[in-house]
Amino acid sequence: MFHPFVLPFSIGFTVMLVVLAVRYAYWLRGLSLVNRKRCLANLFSIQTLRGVSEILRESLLHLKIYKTNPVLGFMHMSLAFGWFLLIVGGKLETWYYTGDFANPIYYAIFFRYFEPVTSGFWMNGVMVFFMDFSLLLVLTGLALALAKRIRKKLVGMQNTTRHSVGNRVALTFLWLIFPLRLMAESATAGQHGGGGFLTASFGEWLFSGTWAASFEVPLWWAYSFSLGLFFLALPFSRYLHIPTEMVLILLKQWDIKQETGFRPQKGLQAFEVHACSSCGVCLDACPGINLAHDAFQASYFVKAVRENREVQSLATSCLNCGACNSACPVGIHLEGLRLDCRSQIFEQSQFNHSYLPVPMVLWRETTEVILYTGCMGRMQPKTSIAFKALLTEAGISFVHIDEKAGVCCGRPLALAGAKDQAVKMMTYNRDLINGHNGKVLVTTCPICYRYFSEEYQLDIPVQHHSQFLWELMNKGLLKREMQTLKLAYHDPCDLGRGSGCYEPPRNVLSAIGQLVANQKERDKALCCGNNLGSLSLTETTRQQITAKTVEVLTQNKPDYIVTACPLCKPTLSKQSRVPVKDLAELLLLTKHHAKGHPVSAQQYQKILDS
Amino acid sequence: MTQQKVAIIGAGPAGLQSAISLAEMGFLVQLFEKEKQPGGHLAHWHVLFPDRQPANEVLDALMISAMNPNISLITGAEISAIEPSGRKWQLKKAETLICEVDAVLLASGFKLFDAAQKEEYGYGIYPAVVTSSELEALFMHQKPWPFNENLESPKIGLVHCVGSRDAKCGNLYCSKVCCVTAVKQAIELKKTFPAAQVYSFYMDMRMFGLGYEELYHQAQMEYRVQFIRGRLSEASPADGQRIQVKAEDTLMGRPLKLTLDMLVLMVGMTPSVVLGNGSASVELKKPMFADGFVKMPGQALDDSRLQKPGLFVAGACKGPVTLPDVVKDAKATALDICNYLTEVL
Ligand code: SF4
Ligand code: SF4
Ligand code: SF4
Repeated sequence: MFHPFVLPFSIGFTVMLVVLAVRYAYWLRGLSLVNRKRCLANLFSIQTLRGVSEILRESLLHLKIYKTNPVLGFMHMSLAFGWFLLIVGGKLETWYYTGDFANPIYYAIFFRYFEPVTSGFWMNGVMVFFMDFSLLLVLTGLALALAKRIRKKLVGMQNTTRHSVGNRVALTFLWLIFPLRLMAESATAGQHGGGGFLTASFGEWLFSGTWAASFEVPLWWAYSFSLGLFFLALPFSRYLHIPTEMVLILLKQWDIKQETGFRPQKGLQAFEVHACSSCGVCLDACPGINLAHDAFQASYFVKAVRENREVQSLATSCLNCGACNSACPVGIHLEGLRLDCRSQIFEQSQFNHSYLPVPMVLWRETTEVILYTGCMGRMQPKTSIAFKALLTEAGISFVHIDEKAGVCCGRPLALAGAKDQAVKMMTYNRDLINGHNGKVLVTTCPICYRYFSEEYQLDIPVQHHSQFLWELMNKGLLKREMQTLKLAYHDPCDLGRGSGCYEPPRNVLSAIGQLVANQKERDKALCCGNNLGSLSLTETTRQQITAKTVEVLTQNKPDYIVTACPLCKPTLSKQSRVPVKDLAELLLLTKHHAKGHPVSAQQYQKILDS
Repeated sequence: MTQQKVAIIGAGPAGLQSAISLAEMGFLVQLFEKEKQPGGHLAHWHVLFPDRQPANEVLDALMISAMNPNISLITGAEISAIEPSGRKWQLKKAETLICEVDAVLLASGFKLFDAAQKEEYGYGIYPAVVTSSELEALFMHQKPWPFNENLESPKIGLVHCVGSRDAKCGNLYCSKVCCVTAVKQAIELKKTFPAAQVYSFYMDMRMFGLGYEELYHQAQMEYRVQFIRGRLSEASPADGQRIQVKAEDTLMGRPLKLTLDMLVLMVGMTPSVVLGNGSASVELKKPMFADGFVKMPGQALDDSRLQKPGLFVAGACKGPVTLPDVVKDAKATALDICNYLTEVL
């Protein structure tokens, strides 16, 4: 069974396989030794099976996209899964009819040309129906994709990705494949009979005349060409993401660890940047979308990395708020990738932290809480004062270790790409912390909290003050009554998405008032606009982001906006008409003001003195 | 012919002076003040730069001239909108009509920046942190000093540019008068507490007016005020009620820590109203973040007329300005209004 029209497909497909094999081999070789060992160790394990099932769920069914956006998910699912069904179905079909599993690949693809009419028992009907149904599924997805190009709102997206010329060529061939397959199969069905509910009726309607006989073979040629050209273009276009995502899923299942340094041409990072489908989910998640001058959003950043363009400005303007990271259905480590890119920029920069003193430990004071408020905390004394008053109220002993003097926790430096400098801060702080005999380290700053928990490896547990306060309330050490307060809670990036702490602050607030909802909460929360993560965003853009965030927070007319971060608070309060308070401040106010009336700044000291 | 009427919103120096000029030209003036007393910020000031003339002298002179039968002063009246009615304008307070006039002058002045917004300076938290306007009240003995007056040599710091030249606060402009006010207040402090150590933390010294530079010299040479170039980063509590400040001395290139008995924040000027641009009526709204002062269309040659005929603006609601300039602006605007009213007839 052969016809020359199978050649374009066969050549294109083979070239694609070879190119992919070469590229993947190169990238795999770029993995660190540890990671390569992990791959080998896990290759024949249950992890591989898990990987395959994840590939089914994510690469074919696109369940994650489906969850964020059902219409978009359906579009991706019908395209990918439909095509997958066609391939599997085609293989089964040829196997079933020829009894030979090892027939050439093209045979399954062009089966209906070689065997227009098949017969058999009930199985035949199922097969024929199944194949036409799969084709219909793909065509539906295609129609949606077309509609998305024309009107992005149709699939529920505010922003959609822009494509380069090369990608558009590949896209065109991709879009031609399935209509051409429909036409070719219908033409054969029209001329020779056979076909399922779709192809038979199409054939009858369009291609049953004798005049149509001359269309049949050219249509198969065209189908084969579009397939061949698409496969040829695939490794050089964004469609490379389809196979790459599958490999990435396997790699993750094999427990590959993040690699350090910015080397997107090989290793894990190469797989990650090429696994991005440019789905654009990260665009809608980004608080800076359409505001900043630079299109720095993850999708564009990853694309620029892929295309080996200048990416430093994109990496530095992003707020590093993590919203795209948690939204990305492919699970690309976008945050890590950007930080790695930054470390490259700041390799050269001059820092001088030689003035850092060495803390002297003469005796270790014993205390329940070691309180660390951080450099941002120094700028927000009300929060520290309030938290300390609450500790006193609950009868908890504490030592405020950076009250008189302190250095940064190091995360801002790490965000700026100067990890080595951050290490100096860590050493200093670790000594300072170890100089006290405390049960727990509590910090009022989410930035410090995240860094302490992720990097410091301390001997004592680390808590954010919201967590600690909720524990105190839970133990009955802090008692509050329900007030008639409507409270909007703002999730700080590093506390929520960064550290997964969503509930404790909400629990505290729910105990003193009514939490009002807004449309962007928890992992979807908008950044206040002042995340330290951005190194180059202009003040104006930041303020526009803040305005948007304040608008969302005040949607349901709260009496207070409450947050738990010394950076979010001043940022939001500059623009908000609704007063903005730290959780600790509000908790303190509700002790003295049963009705929850706002307290003027001047009354503050009096409250604390009493 | 009936006398033409002009309404003036705001009875600070700008409103008072234009009322006086217009009344002298023979127009009937209705002068609205939202506070209980006229005089604006001038009523709360001790002495004026650069000659240290007592503020009440100036205000009294204005008030005496304003005792003109053509002027009626209405206090406690906050105007919320101005609406056209034929060729005339109606002033509304909430929804009620207050009066109908031939021309309106907006002279609502400025608001002081709310220092509590910069929590890092501890205003409203630590009693030893006061604003420049509160310092004037201290000079006039309206309040007790926030430190022991018998201290041998109190240490006092003045911080420039609080809420001005600060993108984070949404105010990029310079408030113009606070540098020289700081110099004047530093001298006054030295006169009150001769042994005091007074530090002034500035970004630039903007001594643009006649006599200002001399005052600055005098402060340094005669009164030994220390001027330190650098922005304060934070204030934190020290022993007792004292305040510890951290700054960077950018001329010496080194960080600096000082413990002070009082910290004075030179609060800048911020807009008091923004004009809503409804199609016909003009709403007087509370300004939002970064709203800015009232913008004048024809800056260079004519900065008193809004694009709606019969609406005029004078004084500090257009932006930071010194008192003598306010008075001149008020007189010039009165003349513009007079010309307009004569043309209308
Ligand atoms: S980074 Fe993730 S969310 Fe963004 S376009 Fe790529 S795959 Fe989609
Ligand atoms: S980290 Fe935040 S600011 Fe940066 S691209 Fe992602 S969503 Fe946008
Ligand atoms: S006048 Fe001086 S203190 Fe005032 S804003 Fe300008 S530079 Fe700052």
